[in-house]
Amino acid sequence: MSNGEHIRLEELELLALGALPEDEAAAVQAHVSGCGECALKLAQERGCAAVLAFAAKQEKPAGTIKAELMARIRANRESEERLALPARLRADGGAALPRLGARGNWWNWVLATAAVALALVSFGLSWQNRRMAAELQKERQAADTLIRDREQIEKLVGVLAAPDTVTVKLAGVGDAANTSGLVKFNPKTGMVLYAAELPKLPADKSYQMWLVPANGAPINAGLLGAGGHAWGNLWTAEVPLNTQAKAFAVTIEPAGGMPQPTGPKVLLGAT
Amino acid sequence: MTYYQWENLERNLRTVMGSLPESQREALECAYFEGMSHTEIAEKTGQPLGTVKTRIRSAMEALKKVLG
Repeated sequence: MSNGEHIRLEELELLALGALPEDEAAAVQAHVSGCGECALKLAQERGCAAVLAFAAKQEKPAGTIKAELMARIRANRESEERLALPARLRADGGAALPRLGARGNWWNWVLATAAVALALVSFGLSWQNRRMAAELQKERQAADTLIRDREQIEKLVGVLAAPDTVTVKLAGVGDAANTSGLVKFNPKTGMVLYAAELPKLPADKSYQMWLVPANGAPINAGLLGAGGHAWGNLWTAEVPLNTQAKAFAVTIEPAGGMPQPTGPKVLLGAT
Repeated sequence: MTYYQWENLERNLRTVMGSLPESQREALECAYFEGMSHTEIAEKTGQPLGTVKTRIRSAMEALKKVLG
């Protein structure tokens, strides 16, 4: 599977495509979780695989679809009108009903049963309507999530694919001395940070990324963890474009982040 | 990436997919769009596993050229 110490690109491609059998995928994942270089390559392959979705052939629906849909709507409307007919007959005081004498009681039972059935159908349709509205809401939320993911993938691909993107190695500091990270930075397209496994933080703390510009105070580049955008250990950062960076850092801050760094540094690297 | 650039990328991706040899396109579509593993693709197509891997690799290389 591996070439020397690292996983072959071919295997990473297959993993990114979801084409490795479970046992092989688990073995590759186990290596990747402890190897920054392979993790970065896998993230690049996943970015490539993600945009592959847009290579799907655009299918035009058959020309008969609209006609079939309209026919179904018409059929439903006619069915509802037939169900509503007994109610209209009762609304005119029964004048339209034939006088059947003793047989009138029999008709009353039929109409009462039909009214109960109609009420049950109405209740069922109303419940179904509410359920479908809830499902629609869920689908809308899923669509919003997809749009946000697509924006983040654009950003990721924009940074990783640009030929003038620079790579800065980050070294662990303090309690995180054993970990490391990488920043891919391009002043024109943005910043991506790969962080190896960082020590788990209590719920009231967050890791926060910083860009230290050539002049001025550190710039908040977003959170690692809740509130950040990630693919595995790869994070897209929010930094103003056309900023010249002299260093990058990750610090521990109160949950939700701070406008300026206040806590201890865990990763640090200079350009 | 602007909307125009994105649309251009989509068009290029589809063009490359359309120009891939049938065997490569089939292998890639089975893997990505149908969620099949390489061994399942090999069984389906009756090709050796190594051939399937090579086809997927070649198809991915062609698509990466579009991404720059």
